[in-house]
Amino acid sequence: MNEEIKLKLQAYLDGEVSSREAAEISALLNHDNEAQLLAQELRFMRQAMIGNEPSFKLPETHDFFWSKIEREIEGSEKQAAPVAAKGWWRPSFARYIGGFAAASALLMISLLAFNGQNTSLPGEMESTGEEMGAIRYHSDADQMTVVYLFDRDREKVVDSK
Amino acid sequence: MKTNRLFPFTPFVGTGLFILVLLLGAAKISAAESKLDVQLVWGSNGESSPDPNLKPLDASLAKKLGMFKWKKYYQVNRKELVLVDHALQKIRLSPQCQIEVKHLDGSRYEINVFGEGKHVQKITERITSHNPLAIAGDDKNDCAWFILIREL
Repeated sequence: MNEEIKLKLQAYLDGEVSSREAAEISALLNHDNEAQLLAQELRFMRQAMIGNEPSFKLPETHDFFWSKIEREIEGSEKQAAPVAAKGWWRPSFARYIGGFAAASALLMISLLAFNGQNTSLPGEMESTGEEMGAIRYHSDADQMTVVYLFDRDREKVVDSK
Repeated sequence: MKTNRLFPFTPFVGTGLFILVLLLGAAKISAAESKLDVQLVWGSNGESSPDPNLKPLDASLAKKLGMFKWKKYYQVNRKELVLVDHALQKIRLSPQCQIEVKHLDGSRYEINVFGEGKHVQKITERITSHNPLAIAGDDKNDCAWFILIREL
C-alpha cells in the first residue's frame, strides 16, 4: 500500500473524499487486510484524540474574547506607529549622535589639553641682577610652590665665614 | 517625509554648533577674568607679634608654610586682584614691596617682584586655589617675608 492510498484512506475516514473515491476505498477495505489494519488504527487514534482532547472554557463569551484580542492587536499597532512616524529623524539622529559625541569629546579634550599644556610645565624664574638668587621648590605634600629669594652677596659672606 | 530627509542632520548640526559656541564661550569667559588673593606675610620665631596690629595668618595657609623654620606667621597686608588676560596689574603690598602680576593662560601667571622700587625677580608659575605660590625671602632679626598668591 503506497502513501497515496494511505492518505486517501485517512481522508475517507475523515469524510473528505468524493463518493466515487469512497466507493473505491470501501472496496479496498473489503479485501485488503493491510488497509483494514490501518483503518482500524486510524479510527482508534481518532477516537483517542477526540476523547482526550483538552477543552478550555473561556471566562467570557467567544465574541468578547476575540474582540479583546483584536483590541490588543490594534493597541500594539498604535504604539508602534509613533516610532514609525518619527522615523524620518531617528535614523539620522542615531547616525550622527555618535559623531557629535565624538566631536564633543575631542573638543573637550583639546580644550583641556590647550588649557593644561602649559600648566604642567615647571615654573620659570629670571633674576634681574647678579646679586639676587632664587630657589624654586614645589611641595606636593603641602600643595604649594615656593620661590625663595636670597642675596648672593650675603650668601658669599656666610660661606666665607 | 522625503523632503524632511533632504537635510536630516540639519537640526543636529545646528545643535552641535550651538553646543560648540557655548563651550567656546564658556572657555573664553572662564579665561577672560581671574581673581587672585595676594597676602604679604611676616614669619617670625618671636613669641609675640612684632606689631600688635598684625593678625595671625589664616590657619590653613600657616599650615602650608609649616615646611619653614618660622613658628608664627602674621598677615601684614592683603589684596584681591582682578586680572584680565595679559593685562598687567601692579600692587604695592608695603612701602618696600611691590609686585606686578599678569595672567598668561589657564592657571599660569607672570609675577614681577620689586624691592624698594627695584625689579628683583620675574617668576612664571602655575597658581591655583589649592596650589598657591609663595615668594619668600630672609629679613633682619631672623625673620622672613612671604608673598602668598592664590587663585580665588
